[in-house]
Amino acid sequence: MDHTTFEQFLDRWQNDIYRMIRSRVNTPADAEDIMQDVLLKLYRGLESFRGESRLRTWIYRLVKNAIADYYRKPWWKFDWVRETTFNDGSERRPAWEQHAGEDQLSALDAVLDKEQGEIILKMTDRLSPAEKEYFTLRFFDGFSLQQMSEATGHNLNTIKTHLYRAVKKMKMYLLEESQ
Amino acid sequence: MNSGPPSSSCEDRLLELLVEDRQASRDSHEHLASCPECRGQLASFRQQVDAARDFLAPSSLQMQRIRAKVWEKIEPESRRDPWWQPAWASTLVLGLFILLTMAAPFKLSRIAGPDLDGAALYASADSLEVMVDQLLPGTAASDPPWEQALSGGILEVENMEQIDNLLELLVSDRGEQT
Repeated sequence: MDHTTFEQFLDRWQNDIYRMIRSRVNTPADAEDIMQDVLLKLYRGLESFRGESRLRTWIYRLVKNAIADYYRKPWWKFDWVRETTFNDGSERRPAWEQHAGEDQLSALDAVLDKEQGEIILKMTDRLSPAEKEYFTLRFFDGFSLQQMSEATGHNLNTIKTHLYRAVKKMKMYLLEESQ
Repeated sequence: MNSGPPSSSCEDRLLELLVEDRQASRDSHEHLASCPECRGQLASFRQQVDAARDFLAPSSLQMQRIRAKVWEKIEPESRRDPWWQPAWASTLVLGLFILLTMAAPFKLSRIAGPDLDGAALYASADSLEVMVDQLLPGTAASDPPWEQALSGGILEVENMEQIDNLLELLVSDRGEQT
């Protein structure tokens, strides 16, 4: 694949891919590492992509595998001393602080301010893993129900059941937050 | 989402609209059109989700950094020789090795010399050496070389015709003696 084609592909997809990764990992640093792996795999695989599944579905599978591989990585392969830049660029902390903490979410809480988007994101952690995955796919990744079925291999009824529960819970959490 | 809990009918329709979106039933869409409460809740939920999506989006600096790192890794790959070149070289080396391995026994037999059986010795000789030492007594110095050789030396013959001549001589000589 030539340079220009891949650049065009990145322009179109980079935000979606990053968002897909970031919503499933705890830190921007992890998201960046995984994003690099995913983009390399896409670069090597895009030419052989035959459109058997939709591109978005294929990317989702790559992302899921890359995240799983990343967290299977042994501790000595983590880049412990690298400085981490957060989304707003306001705070830098070495990555070891994030990994070494006994509660990663509370460490993340300390860094993040109380923006609306973050609140929603944290609320999704209160969902069950399946509910969180379907909620993320539907509302953050922008998958249709059909695409969700293709991507996960689950039937529509199963997906809808989890999604209904997830949305109901999220509405309740939002209501709690607003009171 | 900031108002009080809606009725169960509104709640169900709102859920359906959120989950199914455009595939929600026509009744739900009609309800939405007529219920400002549900419209407000739906808009509020979508606004919150959009805020989360914005939060999850990368900054342009982040993307520049990621893209730079990816290109750093891709460029050595694209400069590398095509896959078939090392494969071709390996095949060539392997082929030569096999060829040499198969040819080696033939070469070694030639270095070690021919087998010691008579036929092979005969065939491989450049000139024939025939021992006739015991066949005839001495001859005169004026005799032709091959007759001198018959007296007790080694006669070197160049071809089969000379051997025939020699044999004829021997037979006729023996005949005269007897």
